[in-house]
Amino acid sequence: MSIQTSDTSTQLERDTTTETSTASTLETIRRLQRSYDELTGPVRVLHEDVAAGRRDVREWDLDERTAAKARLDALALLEELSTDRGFSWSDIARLSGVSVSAVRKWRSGEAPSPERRRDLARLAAFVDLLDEIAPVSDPASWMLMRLSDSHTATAADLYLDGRSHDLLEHAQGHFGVGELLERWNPDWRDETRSEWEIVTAADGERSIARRS
Amino acid sequence: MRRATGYRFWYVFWYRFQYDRSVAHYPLREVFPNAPLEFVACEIRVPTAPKLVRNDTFEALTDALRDDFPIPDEEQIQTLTVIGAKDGGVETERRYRFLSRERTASAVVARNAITVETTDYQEFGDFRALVLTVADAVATTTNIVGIERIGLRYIDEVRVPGEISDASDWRGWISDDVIGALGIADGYTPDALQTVLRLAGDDSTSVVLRYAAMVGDGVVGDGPLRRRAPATSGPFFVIDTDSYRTSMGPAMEDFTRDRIAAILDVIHEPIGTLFHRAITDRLREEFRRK
Amino acid sequence: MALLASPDDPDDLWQAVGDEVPAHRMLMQGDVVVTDDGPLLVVTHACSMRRGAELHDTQMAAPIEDHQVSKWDGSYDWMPAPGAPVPDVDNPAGLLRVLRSVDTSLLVSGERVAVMSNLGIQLLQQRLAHHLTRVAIETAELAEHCAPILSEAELHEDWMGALGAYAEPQFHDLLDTDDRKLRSWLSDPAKRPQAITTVRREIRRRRDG
Repeated sequence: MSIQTSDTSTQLERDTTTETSTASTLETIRRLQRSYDELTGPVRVLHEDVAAGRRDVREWDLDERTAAKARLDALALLEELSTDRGFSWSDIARLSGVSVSAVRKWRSGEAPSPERRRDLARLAAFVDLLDEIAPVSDPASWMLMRLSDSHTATAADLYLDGRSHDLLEHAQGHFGVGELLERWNPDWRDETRSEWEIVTAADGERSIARRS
Repeated sequence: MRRATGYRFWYVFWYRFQYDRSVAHYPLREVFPNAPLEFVACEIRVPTAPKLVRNDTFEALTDALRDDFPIPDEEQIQTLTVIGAKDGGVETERRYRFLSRERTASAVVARNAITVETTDYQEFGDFRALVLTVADAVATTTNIVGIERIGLRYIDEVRVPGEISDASDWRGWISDDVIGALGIADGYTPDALQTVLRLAGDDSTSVVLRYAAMVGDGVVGDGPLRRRAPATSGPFFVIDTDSYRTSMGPAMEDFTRDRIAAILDVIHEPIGTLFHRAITDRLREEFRRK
Repeated sequence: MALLASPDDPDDLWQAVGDEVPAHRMLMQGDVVVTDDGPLLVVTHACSMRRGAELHDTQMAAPIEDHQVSKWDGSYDWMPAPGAPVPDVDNPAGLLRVLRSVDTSLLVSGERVAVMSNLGIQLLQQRLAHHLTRVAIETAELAEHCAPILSEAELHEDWMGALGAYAEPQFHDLLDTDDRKLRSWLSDPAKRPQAITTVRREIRRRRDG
C-alpha cells in the first residue's frame, strides 16, 4: 500500500525506479529494486536464493519434458533432432553418449536400451527448452558453435559434462560466457585456448592458420 | 524475527527539499574499519553509441583495461521480462564486463552507458581514478558525443550487534530524522520501513536517498562481483544513496576526462554528509570497532 | 600429457564396419578398403579428395599392416585401426611412413570394410600432420574445419539411401542451387543446421510425396 500525496510523488516514484536511477541495469541494483518493491514483509533476495529457485523450477521442467519425450519412439526422436533441428547423426550420437553405429542401428528400427532412450529424450527436451526460454535463434548451431571465438569449448562440451542448467541460465542471459565457462572449468582459459583459426586460403579453400 | 501479531503496517513517505549546500557538513572523512559499505557504482550515461558493443571495441577495451580489469566477459541482458514468450517482446542487449582479478570490481560497457562498480571500495580518490581510467579507455575506442548523466550509487548494509526484532529497534542506531515515521507505530509492530527522499541541488544535481529496514542475507549478491565478505543472515538496514547530475540537450557535457572528474567531485560531495546525518554516534562507534 | 590424442574406446573410431557400411557412401578419408593391391587406408584430406562432385583420379593411401600398436602416443609412424574387419589381419594399422598415391578406381572397385567416424578422421588428420611435419594440432581445432564435408557426406548418404543411386545428381544440384547456397550454409557453423534440415526435408518430400 502506498500513499501518494501528489503528482510530485508519482514523478518521484518514476525517478527512483530502475530505469532512471544510477546503474539500474546492473544485477545488484535490479535485485535491490525488486526487494524495495516487494517490501511488505521479511524479504530474502539473495542472488543464490533466486538462482536456486530458478534452478529448481527448471530442473523439474527439464525432467517433465524428458519424460514426455521418452514416450516417443527412438525413430520419432531421431527424426525430430535431425530433420526439425538440424543435428547431424554424429552430433546426435555424441550428445546422447553413444556411437554413430548405435544411432545407425536405431535408425534401422533397432530399439535402444531404456537408458539410451532416456538420454536421447533428454537431448530433445533440452533443445526444446532452449528454444522456448532463451532468445537463441537456432538451438543446434548455438550448441555446436564455440562459446568464445578464441577458445575451443562449445555448449555441447558443457552439456556432456552435465552443465545443462548452467547452459539454460546463460542462454537466458542471467550471466555471461565467462561465468558459464568458469563454472564448468576454472582453468578454461588456458585449457581450451585456441591457437588456430579457419581462414580462406589463396585457392579459395579453407585452411587452418595460426591466430594472428 | 518476531512476526506481527497485530496490525501489519508499512508506510512510505515522499519529501522534496531544496538542498542547501551551504550547510556545514561533517568534516569526517573517516575510513571505518567496520564500514557497512557493500557496493559502489559510477554510471556515465551517454547517447546511444552502437559502436560501444561491437566486437572490435571489445577487443580494444580488453587490451586497454588489461591492467585493472584483466578478465573480459560478454553478457546478454534481456531488457523486457516476458519470460517464456520468445517473440513476446523479449529483447536482448549485449554488453561487456571487464572484471578485476579478485572479481571485486568491474567495468561494464553497454551501448548507452559505462559503469564502474566495486564491492571493495576503499576511498574516493582510488575509485575516481579507476572511473577515469575506464573513461579514457572508452574514449580511445569510440567517439562519444557527450554525457547525459553521471551518477554515483553507494549502498550500505548496516548490521548491528544488538537485537533487532522489528523496525523500531533501529532507533538509536539510525537517526530519528530518517526513521521518524516509527513514532506513528506506537502500539503496532512495524514489520518493515522504507523512506525515499529526493533532494534537488544546484546545477542539475540531485540526490535520491532510500532507507529501508530489511531482513535477509543482504541485497548485494555474490555475482558477478564477489562480496567483500559473505553476508550474515538477519536484520539489516539499507542506506542507498544515489547522487547524480543530468546534462541533456544543449547543456550536454563533453565526454572528456576533465569534465568527468569535475562532475564526479561535485556529485560526490554530499554523499558523506548525508550518510552521517542518517546515523547516530552510537552507530559511528560501531563502525570504528575492529 | 600426451602429445597426440587417442580414443577412449577403440569402437569410437568407426562410424560403420563390415555389413553396416552403406554401399553408396562417398569415399572418404579414413576409409579402410580391401583392394587388389591389399588393404589400404585412405588418407587424402577429406576436403581435397574431389573437384566439385567428382573424385580426383588419384588419392593418397597408407597400406594396412598387421601391427599391434603399443601406445597411441608414440608409434607416430602408425595410424592404429583396431576393429576394422580386415581379412587375415588381427591388428590393423595404417603405416603412414609408406604413404603412396593410388588410382581412385582401385579404391572404388575395392571392398570398403570400415568407415571412420568424425573423431576417427580427426585423429587420423592429427597423426598425419604430425608424421609429415612434427607439428601437433589439437583435434578440437581440426573438427570444425572438416565439418562441412563430413556433413555433406552424411546428407549424401541419407539421400542415396532414401532415394536411390539414380537420385545422386539431384543431390548435387540441390546443393548448387541459388549460387551454391546450401554449400555455403554447410561451411558456416551458424547455418549448417539449417542446411541439414533443408536437405532432410527435401528427402522426406521426395520420398513420401
